[in-house]
Amino acid sequence: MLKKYKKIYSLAHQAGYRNYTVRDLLELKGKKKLTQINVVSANEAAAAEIAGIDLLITGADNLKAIREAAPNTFLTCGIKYTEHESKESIAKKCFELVELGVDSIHTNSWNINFIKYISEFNIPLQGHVGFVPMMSTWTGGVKPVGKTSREAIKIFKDIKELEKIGCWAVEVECVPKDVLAEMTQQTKMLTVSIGSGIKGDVQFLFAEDILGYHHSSTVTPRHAKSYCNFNKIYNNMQKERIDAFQKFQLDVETNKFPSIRHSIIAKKEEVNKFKKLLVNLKNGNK
Amino acid sequence: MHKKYKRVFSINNDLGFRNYTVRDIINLKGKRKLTQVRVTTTEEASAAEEAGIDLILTGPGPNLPAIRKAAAKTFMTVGVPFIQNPSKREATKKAFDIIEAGADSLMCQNWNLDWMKHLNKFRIPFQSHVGFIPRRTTWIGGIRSFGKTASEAMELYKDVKDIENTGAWGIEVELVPQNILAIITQETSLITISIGSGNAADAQFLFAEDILGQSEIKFPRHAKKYKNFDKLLNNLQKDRVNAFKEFKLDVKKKIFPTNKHSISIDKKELSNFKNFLHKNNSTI
Repeated sequence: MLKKYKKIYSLAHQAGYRNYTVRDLLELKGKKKLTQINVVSANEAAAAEIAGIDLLITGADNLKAIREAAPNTFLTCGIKYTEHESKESIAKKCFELVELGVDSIHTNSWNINFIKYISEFNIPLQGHVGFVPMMSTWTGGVKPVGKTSREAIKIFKDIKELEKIGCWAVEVECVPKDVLAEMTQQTKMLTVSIGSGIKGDVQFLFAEDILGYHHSSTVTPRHAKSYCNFNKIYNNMQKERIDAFQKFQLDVETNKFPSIRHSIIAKKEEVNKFKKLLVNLKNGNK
Repeated sequence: MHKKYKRVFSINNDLGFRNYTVRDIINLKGKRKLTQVRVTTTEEASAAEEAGIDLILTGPGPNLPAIRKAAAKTFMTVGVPFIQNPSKREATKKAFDIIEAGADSLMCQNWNLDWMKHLNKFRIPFQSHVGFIPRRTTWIGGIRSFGKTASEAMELYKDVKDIENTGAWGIEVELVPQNILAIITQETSLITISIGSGNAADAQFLFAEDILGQSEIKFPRHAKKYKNFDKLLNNLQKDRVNAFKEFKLDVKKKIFPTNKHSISIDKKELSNFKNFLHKNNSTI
């Protein structure tokens, strides 16, 4: 990797290096396809940075370790709407995440007024339209959104609203590819496609889907592509763990472990002295 | 594994199954060698239970309920840190919290003896620790074995007796000469749990990370490595990097996503939408 990182100041005024600023990203619209990965562990984050993934996204829980593991990659962090009942509360949380070194915040299914409020602080925001899991009761469950012109127009209006607020990007989930193709042309924001075809400015997948490891669902979603079978590898590792513990159990039962090599031996004279001291102690106690 | 579990009430009054009660463990002294493994993850916990490890030790972290669930039937001891609980009352409260999470026993490492006696008044089973105790190494002059001289061995013996008198059921004995622990094991009613103290103890204790060969620090001399997880985990990380690289390349080359990964729209609906956009643009 001969990746060049540029010197930057983070939103919290920390000097550091990043692959992109938000301005770089906006200027790349229509010029370069970017990748974004959702990571949940430091290992995934570190691997993504080494692999040259352009953008990372994660949740607030493990953020510190993830930022440290991928310090040079443009990192967006999501905030759950149910944890913040006011725009002041959500601003406080944003500031905390900014202090931890995030480059952008994902607004998921926030109250639109909260999004407006946070944008007043010039914190780069990524929105979410189309199929939004938490709001899917409004779109009729787990299914594509935007297959009719009416739905497509609604998504277009949602996008324009986020654009007006000043979001730099919008995740577009499970929308027909031809609809996204139009949207990408009609907005200044970067469109981030997940399950919405090839015409997004950014292609987004979850690390767990890429790795073939499902901790939050049981199957790889139709729109995702698995490049590894981590489920199988993890199952094998668990078999190895069980085997190791069984061997330890057997070693102890058959007196094979620990051997002298694993033990410390006191000199005979000291052991004898100790035995005498014990006898004296007991006689004294009587 | 045709392990028999017995019906028990846990000390927080949950009905369940366990391999041992504390009384069973005490009754096995001198009759059967037991194993204890310290686990930090649910994977390690469930593997230990499946392998028939007798005793599990773990920490009081946020992961505890998940670890308890992963090894629901194995006698589980949980450490209670004294440093965050600077009074008898707070330590007891923390102990109760841990019991509510399903612990069968507590590990009172470094605890004030009075607090242990106090805990015993509640009839809560606990084990403690003698010999080399990481947090107390300044008192023995650093990281070294303890009990190689008769006078140190006497000190150790007195520590064991002090702990026996608090009502503990077990005692971890770390980095003590094998021939000294052999004598102490006979001299105490406590279950002696050896780590680096030879094979004459009632139980043998190791860290899961050492058994699996994924130690964060240099591999301890007294431990035995049964696997090379360091290597497995390194390979896994290489797999992650490669997978992410392939994804990036697929996107760059426009190999991903294909139509198979995408959603299509009815032509009529699409042209309606385009018409709308057209009008919308001309009104701006």
